[in-house]
Amino acid sequence: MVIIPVRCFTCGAVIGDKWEAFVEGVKLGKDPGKVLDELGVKRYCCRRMFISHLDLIEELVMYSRKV
Amino acid sequence: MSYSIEVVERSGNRLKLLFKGVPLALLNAVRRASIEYVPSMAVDFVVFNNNTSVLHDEIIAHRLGLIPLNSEEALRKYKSPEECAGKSSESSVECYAVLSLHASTKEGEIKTVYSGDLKPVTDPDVRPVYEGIPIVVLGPNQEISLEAYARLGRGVEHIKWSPATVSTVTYSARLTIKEELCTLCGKCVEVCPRNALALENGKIRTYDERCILCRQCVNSCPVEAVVLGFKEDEFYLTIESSGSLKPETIVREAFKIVISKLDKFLSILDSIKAQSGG
Repeated sequence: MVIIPVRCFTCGAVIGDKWEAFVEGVKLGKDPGKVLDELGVKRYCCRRMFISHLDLIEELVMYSRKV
Repeated sequence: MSYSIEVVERSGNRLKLLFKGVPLALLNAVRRASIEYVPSMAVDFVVFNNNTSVLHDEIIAHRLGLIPLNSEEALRKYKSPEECAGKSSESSVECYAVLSLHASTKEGEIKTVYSGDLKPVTDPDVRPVYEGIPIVVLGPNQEISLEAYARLGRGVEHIKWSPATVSTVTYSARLTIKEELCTLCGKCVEVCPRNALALENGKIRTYDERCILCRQCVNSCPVEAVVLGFKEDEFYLTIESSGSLKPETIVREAFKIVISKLDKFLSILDSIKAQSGG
């Protein structure tokens, strides 16, 4: 996906605000599952939103048109 | 008829209630009303002044719609979705709250625009519940400038207006061990993921309130000594809010809506009776 979805596709819980905290935790070398537990992401529908997401927008912006 | 309601869990956006003596059909109606009929605020449409970001207007408008807005005060202040239907947007302050988003980047700058940057214009009470939801990432020399119009709506129209993300009614378990069959092999204790069964004082002790109805104990028992039943008039109602309303507000409003629907139904019945000369 280009950018983290605002909500979980299945249950509709808000997940967008937890993405950056998740990335930070994982970059520190913590176990992704533990980071999600700490963030209070309980259901596996919401958890897959994080572990399967690739933030492509960071790369895309470098190729955008000149304004 | 006597009934009781007990709060089992209340944390963050979650509320779990135990109802005793309340019919399942009524609770199920409340469960459905929580998702479909309790109104909350959400962005209805967006006017773009400028958008040179990599995301299209439609995608950004969709993302804005899904951001929960504080609706506790809005429930009293704004007109219901039915009253606002067909109203022209910009003029009606009784129906619409306006929010704005302006962000731009300089040469060589990359910036993430968050839901916290979505500022209320007409009503400070209607603002995003969470500040940290990324809306878009701006690359160098890009700009986004828009006005978003939020109004009360219901989940039946679009799920973005649903204040409850999770709304479930579950049975209350009754675990019984047939002691004349039980060999105390402990297999059920081993498989239970929630420790609802325990071997205590030469007996299998059951903790009904911990049971999640997975039936693993029933399936694991070699002599069919474990029986999983349900309590006749006890049900759990679990509500998880998106943040726009408190879970207890959702339950209260859902009950009000179910009651008003029943009143309407009764008045229709009365009018039919009157017509047929009863």
